[in-house]
Amino acid sequence: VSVDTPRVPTQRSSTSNSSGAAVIESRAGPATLPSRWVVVPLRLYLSTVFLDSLTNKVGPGKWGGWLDWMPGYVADQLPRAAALYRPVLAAVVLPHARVFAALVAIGEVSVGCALLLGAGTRLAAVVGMFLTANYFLFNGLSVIDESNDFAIMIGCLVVLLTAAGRTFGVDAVLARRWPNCPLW
Amino acid sequence: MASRNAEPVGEGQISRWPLAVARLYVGVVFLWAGVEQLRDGAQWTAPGQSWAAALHQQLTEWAPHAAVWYHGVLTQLLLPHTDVIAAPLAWLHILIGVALVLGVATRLAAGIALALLFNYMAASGHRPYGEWDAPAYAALALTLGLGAAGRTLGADVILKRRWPRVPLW
Repeated sequence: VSVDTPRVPTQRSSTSNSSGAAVIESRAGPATLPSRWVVVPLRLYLSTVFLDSLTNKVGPGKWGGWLDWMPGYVADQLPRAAALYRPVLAAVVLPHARVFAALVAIGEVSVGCALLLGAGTRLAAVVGMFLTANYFLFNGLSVIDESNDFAIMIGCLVVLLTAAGRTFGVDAVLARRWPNCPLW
Repeated sequence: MASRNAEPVGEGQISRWPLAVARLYVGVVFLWAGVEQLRDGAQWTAPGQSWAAALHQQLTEWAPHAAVWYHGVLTQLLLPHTDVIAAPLAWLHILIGVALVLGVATRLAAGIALALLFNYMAASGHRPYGEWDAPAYAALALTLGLGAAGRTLGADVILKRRWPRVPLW
């Protein structure tokens, strides 16, 4: 008895510790998984890509120039575009090139700002992937070419799947208010 | 590995498999780049040009734009020895690529990739953000390193179990 007596609290304490650890793990998740902050630099980098590409579109005297320049550029680039994308360019984009030029700029500024602030990050990542997929097909490149288009798409995919705006982003607030919405 | 993937993701945590997808992509890009450099592929060289000559030409074109702090390294160390560094550089790309594809010592491989890409950015005078391939791959490599991306669908699962304190995987 004298030997067993001290054992009892030890066993209880051990049981208590185990169950306590299990509770903590279910809340915080397994220690083997990375924290969400590891994808925040990627999210911020991607925002610079989209905002940086606006430098030739938005600014004093640039907007009109961009709308005038894009139709000619699309027409010149048409033979080099991916074969499956050429009919889309010829039938849809070229006849409405000025509208698409405006949409591209609006898309880029929206995606850039959303990724920077981490607001609606998943939606922004999907739009970013869509924009970049179009550039990728437009440039007619391979997935391992010297372009960054496919790398940007992969980056957006990571940001989308990891909900990268929920750390150091407005999405932390949005996810708390509307936890079931898939946009953040 | 499957059971690890099935672990519940806690608040503030992310599943590692999206990082594994990015790891495979970056690995294939590095592997392909190294192989193409070794075989004087058209992506890196002009017709009839060797990889060493193409590297010399590229560095010469970059030199006037190189970052001020890097200019000496480029002009005094790299440019005079491009024929010596060309092949090891290609092999370094291949090693990084293989390590990332297999998920072996992913953090080490991602760190070396990051250093390599920063060298390219410094040599070309490019900003470490915005459009261009080097910053894009650098951002992905940083994420792979921080997230220890080899611990899902990679050999780092085994390495981590055997040597849990080593920070290279």
